[in-house]
Amino acid sequence: MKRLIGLFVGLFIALLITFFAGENPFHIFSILIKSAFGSMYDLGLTLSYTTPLIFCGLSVAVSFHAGLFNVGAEGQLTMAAITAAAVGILFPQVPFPFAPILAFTAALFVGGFWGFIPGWLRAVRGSHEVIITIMLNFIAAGTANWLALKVIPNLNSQNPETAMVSNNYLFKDYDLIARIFPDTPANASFGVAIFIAVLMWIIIWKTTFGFELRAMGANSEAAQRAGISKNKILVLSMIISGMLAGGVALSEVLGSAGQYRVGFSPDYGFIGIAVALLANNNPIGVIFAAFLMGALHKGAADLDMETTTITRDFSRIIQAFIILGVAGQAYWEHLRTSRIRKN
Amino acid sequence: MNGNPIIEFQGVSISFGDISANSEVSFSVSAGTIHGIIGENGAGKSTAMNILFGLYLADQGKVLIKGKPVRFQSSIDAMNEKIGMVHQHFMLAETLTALDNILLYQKGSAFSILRRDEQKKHLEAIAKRFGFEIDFDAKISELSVGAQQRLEILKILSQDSEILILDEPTAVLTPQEVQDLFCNLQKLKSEGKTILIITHKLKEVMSLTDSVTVFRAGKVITTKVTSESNLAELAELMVGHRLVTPQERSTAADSSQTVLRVSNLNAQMNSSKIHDINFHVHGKEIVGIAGVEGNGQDILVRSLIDKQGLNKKNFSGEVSVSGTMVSFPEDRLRFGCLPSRPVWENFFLGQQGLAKFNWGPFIRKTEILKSTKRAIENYDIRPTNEFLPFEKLSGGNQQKLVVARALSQNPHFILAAQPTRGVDIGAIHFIHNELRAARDHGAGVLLISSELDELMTLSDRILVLYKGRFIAEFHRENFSEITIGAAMGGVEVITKNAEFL
Repeated sequence: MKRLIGLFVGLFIALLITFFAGENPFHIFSILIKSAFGSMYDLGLTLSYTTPLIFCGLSVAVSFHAGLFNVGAEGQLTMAAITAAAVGILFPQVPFPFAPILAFTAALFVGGFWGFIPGWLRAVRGSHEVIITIMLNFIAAGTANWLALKVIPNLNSQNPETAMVSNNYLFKDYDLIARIFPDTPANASFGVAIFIAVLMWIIIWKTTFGFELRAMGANSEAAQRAGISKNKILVLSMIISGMLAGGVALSEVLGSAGQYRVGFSPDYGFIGIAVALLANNNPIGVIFAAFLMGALHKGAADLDMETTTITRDFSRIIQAFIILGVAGQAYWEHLRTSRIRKN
Repeated sequence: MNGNPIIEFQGVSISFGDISANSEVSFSVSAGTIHGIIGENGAGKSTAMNILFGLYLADQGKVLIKGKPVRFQSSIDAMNEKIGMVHQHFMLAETLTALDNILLYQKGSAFSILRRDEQKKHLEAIAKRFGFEIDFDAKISELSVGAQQRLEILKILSQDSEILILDEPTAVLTPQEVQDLFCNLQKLKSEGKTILIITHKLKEVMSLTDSVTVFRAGKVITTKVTSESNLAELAELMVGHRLVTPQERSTAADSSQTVLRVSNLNAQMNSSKIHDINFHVHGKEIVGIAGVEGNGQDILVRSLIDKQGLNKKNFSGEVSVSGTMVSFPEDRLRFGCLPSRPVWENFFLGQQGLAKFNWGPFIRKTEILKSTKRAIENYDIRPTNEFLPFEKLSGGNQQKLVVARALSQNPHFILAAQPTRGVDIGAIHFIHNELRAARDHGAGVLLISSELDELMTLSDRILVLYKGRFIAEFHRENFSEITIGAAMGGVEVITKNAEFL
């Protein structure tokens, strides 16, 4: 809750800048609100942005708890999404209830593998996970583009995208959330994301494994002295982190589009870092932080259309100010506590 | 307390947040004396000195220097009033020479030109006069700890300071170096300098100071003329109650049982090495390892508790522990705890594998809380709040928790590395008695400490580690500060070797 102060400070400064750009900040704010929650259609779009942000926020939050910084959620979700599409295209005969489960499992496996690589390199070679995950983001983007355009392309379209997965893989007909928000990409994976967030909360705060993971994050040397295997936690936490990011395949490929579209993600993996920070790495908080960032993303997209001076990039500026506000507040608290601690 | 006071504190108070670090502190120091400032950790003695040196600004009260009220905004103001301070952790640029380190400290414009040869001559004269001779052309990293400290003091003397504040100056010195330092300080006193020395070692207070001010819980309890007081009285004033004197041991070492056996151990980590280490610890026995810090203690600890973490190339020999083992880490904040996490999680750390605290993959928080509460009660850890972040506890209470966690597992072998570092007298007593109790229940203890007093009160045998080798062994009946201290300094290696098993 404390982080909301930083959030509002950031938002205030961002709106102040719209004022200097020659717009009425109250008008801008009302557009933001209206376009994020104004109608069922708008809300559906907001939720469709929220779902992948929950997955990515959880991914980053888990790595933060283990003292790691997973900057690679973007690459992990890309690999997972292309995997889900590829399975759906290459094995069209699999019958319905098994088909999406198979594709989702494969996506989680590949996402987890994409997280395993930096975790394992950190454990055996000491390579810093930030560098490795950033490089893997590029490898993932290149690999996914190649697969989408050369191996399983959509021959009926000019767009850079894969062919459609077999209908057995889609669960639209059973999807209550998609029915509430017709004509939007919102789908049942929103519920799955919330379920997984609760599950992660239980794992992190209620299990021995979660304790070991947090101990490693709080003080890795002490954790090792206490008999916790550093390498095990490094590798496992990065695998879990990668799998969580891989959950995006469910909402974006199996839940709505039915195919992999190059550039479908507006950097969900990176916005996930902001979500995790905003939520103070609390899995339940991630749900709300993701909703907020999703709403902001949706609102900012409409600002582009409704005003002349504010472009789509302005959404990035608002997000940047919110992260600055939140991080600034966290830093301020840190300074205050460390000043007391000194004495 | 006659003579003209050079420093006077009048009702000085300062608080940080809700914590009052100094309240109504009043005392005075006569010119040309050595004045001890003693107190437990967190008693406010360092805070008071930091106010004097301009690092903190008092909320209330006055500080008078030579009868004139001063209000220092920064340490530069303090230096202008000829006050200098040697911090516990040296403030030296490692890669520069000793001379450059002093020149760095020189007053004046940043652009003024200092003639090195002139300055060197000038400094050498000062060094000679006060007996602080060092090699001015040596790099800091080549100087011994004692020489580094002499350099720190020279830095102050080069400013013509009249008041010297020394914060725990003997913590890192060998007994011989302490003797040299005290001689030099006496010389400074005879030159008319005033010296304030912050310490918790009462023996040093008795042998060095003229008068002493006792701090407890942020307040000045009293100021005494040292020669009119004694050790026991000062200890009582510091702690606020009478300390129970340790009972001599009632049981003998159980030589039928060997809980730790180390043979032909050679290991290396970064710059610290140990060679040909052979020793054992019996049940009901406390074996002490003496040595100035940096003679291989850290790698020895690592070899005992985490040899898998060491590079195989750098490790050879045999370490065998029979039964269960626990360790108190030498640096509790770094190795022993999760500072930002609550007390109960820190109590759980290291016991997370125990069946009684687990239910399948889940932790049994109620059980853990119950055990934590019991430990808090038994070990008198304050404040009694198991949800408080560990770092909010004072050093003594932190260490008590670490000890409680280790000893509540009823181990066969206890590795106690610096078990009372940074801990106040009351807690030291408590921890010592707990270690004695664990020993009497049959545990073997390996005690690694830089405090010779601690080793001599607890140990049955003392091994001296010097440059990675055991160069001497002493049995309880032969304990003497002089011979052990000499061995810690590396002298008499040959004669002691002959005595060594």
